[in-house]
Amino acid sequence: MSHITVLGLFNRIEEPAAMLTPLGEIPVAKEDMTLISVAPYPDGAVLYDEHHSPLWAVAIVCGIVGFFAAIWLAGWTQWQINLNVGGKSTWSVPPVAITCYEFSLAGMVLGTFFGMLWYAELPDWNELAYDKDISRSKVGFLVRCRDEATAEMVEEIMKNNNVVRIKRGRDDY
Amino acid sequence: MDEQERPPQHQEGERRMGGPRTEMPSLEELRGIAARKGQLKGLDIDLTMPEAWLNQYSLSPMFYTTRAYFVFTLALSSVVAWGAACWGYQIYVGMGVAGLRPPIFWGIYISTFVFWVGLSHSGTIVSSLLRLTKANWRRPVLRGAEAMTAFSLMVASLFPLIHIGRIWRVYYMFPLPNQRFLWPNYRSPLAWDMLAISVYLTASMIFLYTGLLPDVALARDLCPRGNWRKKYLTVLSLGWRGTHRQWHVYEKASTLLAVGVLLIAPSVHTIVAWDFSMSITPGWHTTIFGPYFVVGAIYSGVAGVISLMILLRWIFGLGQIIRTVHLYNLAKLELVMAVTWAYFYFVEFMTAWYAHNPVEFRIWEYQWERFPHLMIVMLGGTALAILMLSFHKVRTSPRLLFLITVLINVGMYIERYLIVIPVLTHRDNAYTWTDYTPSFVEISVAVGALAFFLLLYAVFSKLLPVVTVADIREGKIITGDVRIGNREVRVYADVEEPL
Repeated sequence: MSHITVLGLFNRIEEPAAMLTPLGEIPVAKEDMTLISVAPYPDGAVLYDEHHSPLWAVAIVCGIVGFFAAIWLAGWTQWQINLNVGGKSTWSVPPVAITCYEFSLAGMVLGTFFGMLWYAELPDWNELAYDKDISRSKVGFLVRCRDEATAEMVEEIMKNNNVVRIKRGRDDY
Repeated sequence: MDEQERPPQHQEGERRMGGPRTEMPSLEELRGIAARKGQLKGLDIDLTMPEAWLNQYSLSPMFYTTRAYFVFTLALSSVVAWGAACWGYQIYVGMGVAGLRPPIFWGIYISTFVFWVGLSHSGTIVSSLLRLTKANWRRPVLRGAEAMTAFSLMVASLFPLIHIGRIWRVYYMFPLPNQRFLWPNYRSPLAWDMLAISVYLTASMIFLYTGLLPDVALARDLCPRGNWRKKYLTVLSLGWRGTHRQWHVYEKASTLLAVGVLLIAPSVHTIVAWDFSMSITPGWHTTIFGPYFVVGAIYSGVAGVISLMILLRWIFGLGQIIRTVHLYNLAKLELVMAVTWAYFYFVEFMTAWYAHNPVEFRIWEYQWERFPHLMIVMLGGTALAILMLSFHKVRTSPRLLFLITVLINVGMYIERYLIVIPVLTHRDNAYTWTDYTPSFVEISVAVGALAFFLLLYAVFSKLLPVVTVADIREGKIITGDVRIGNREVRVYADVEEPL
């Protein structure tokens, strides 16, 4: 389903924050709104992030995968090449524990990074609604509209709230 | 950069006039107090700095290059080339050109390796600790510290390759079956070392890149059309737009990565210490080596971070962002580490002295007879650091701080040298006692490594943002000055979710 995306650029964060009530009356759902900024604003300053992104769970799962990979690498190779020297045990736990520690953390870090990319939907080099002035500290407020009439009403609300510039574009959010 | 973002020198006058501010009180509100000027100097962020200047200030190292930079980079490249040529000569002729002779199989290469691994530590430890504790002064320090970790680890990881001589045999250390289905022996501390450093390097690079992501996007947007940086900045930014969702995920990831890196870093230097202490060589076989190495690494690393921050201020004129207060806070941290390090010296000495351990005594005697000047620099450097860093004036003087932190790292390099060499030259049997002097090739390679580290940093500053702009902006968002009675104080919004 195609959407019309309206991106308004504002000078202050209070301006898009003040738009939520009139936008709700159109109505535009909060899932169709996105704040774009050059720096993170506290959650709830305009919108709350309601996406489910259990990054910690991804990190833990990848850490566990790393742990078992280490057992396989350091443990299995000890069994594979069984050199009984000086009465030492074939399967020596402390070295495996060290390898497990390092691999678990490696798994956790890699999982966190790729999890971040997954949940943040990166990389994405498509031409999405954006404006370079956001990097010059303009606050972008993006609204996804179902039809032209809604888009015009959104633009009107933006104008009433001191929008600096309005752009239209495609956005998959 | 467009007209709005001209170089700092053109806008200096305008900056002094103050600029438009949005969320914060007007500049006039903050004036009228005689102490205001002095107070501004001591604050972590200049709230009066306009946004366009912040962009231009933070990205100016990328886009404005002085002739001195080219000269500096060329000089570094020459030293690196010389070091690489010496390494090539060593590979071609063989390890005989190094000063290594039986029983000295570990020489300056290993002590240099330990030094660089140590230096790498504080970067991520400082960065992740400050991130996790949400220390508000952290922001300008993070990128420099993280980059220092990544580059010093890159340099460190060269030394095992240099040290093994026959570099083409390095694959024996990889976790792969090499020949006749033989796998590396994971019971060896050397295999742990290879593993730990690989993991740490990977994690540090990811940590650095994750922190860079929003700033790379910023540089992509502000990069002039047609500039050669545009293409790789576009690729590296991965299409980052800074949506609310992206920021939310990014902050979660930053916290998790900080935890991960914080857990990896001490393990790495402990494992480096175990390269020594897991052997039953007298002088190395001691339980204190793990924490001793970790504390030494943090002590050395914080000094490295301070030196680099001061260099960034001097070379790129980033004094408006990396402010005296940041150096001051880092210096306080360094003072704590210097005292802890002195405590470790004392504990190590006291235990061996009280038991009158003959092996330890023999090594000490040899150290004082053979290297009295190095011992004085090493011990005197720490004593001087504690003494000098105790003074407020020193902690707020970039020149003195630079001198002290460089001295600290010279002392730490000597310390690494004196850990490795005397134990090997004076091992158990007196008839094997000998002496060791690094060869010209070894010294050239070690100096080349230092130049390589600085060159990596210099190139990095031209390719990517060298300060964390997004973090500084976040600081501006959550920071404000309020008046309490007759005094204005800085406050930070507590944006933590309620527990």
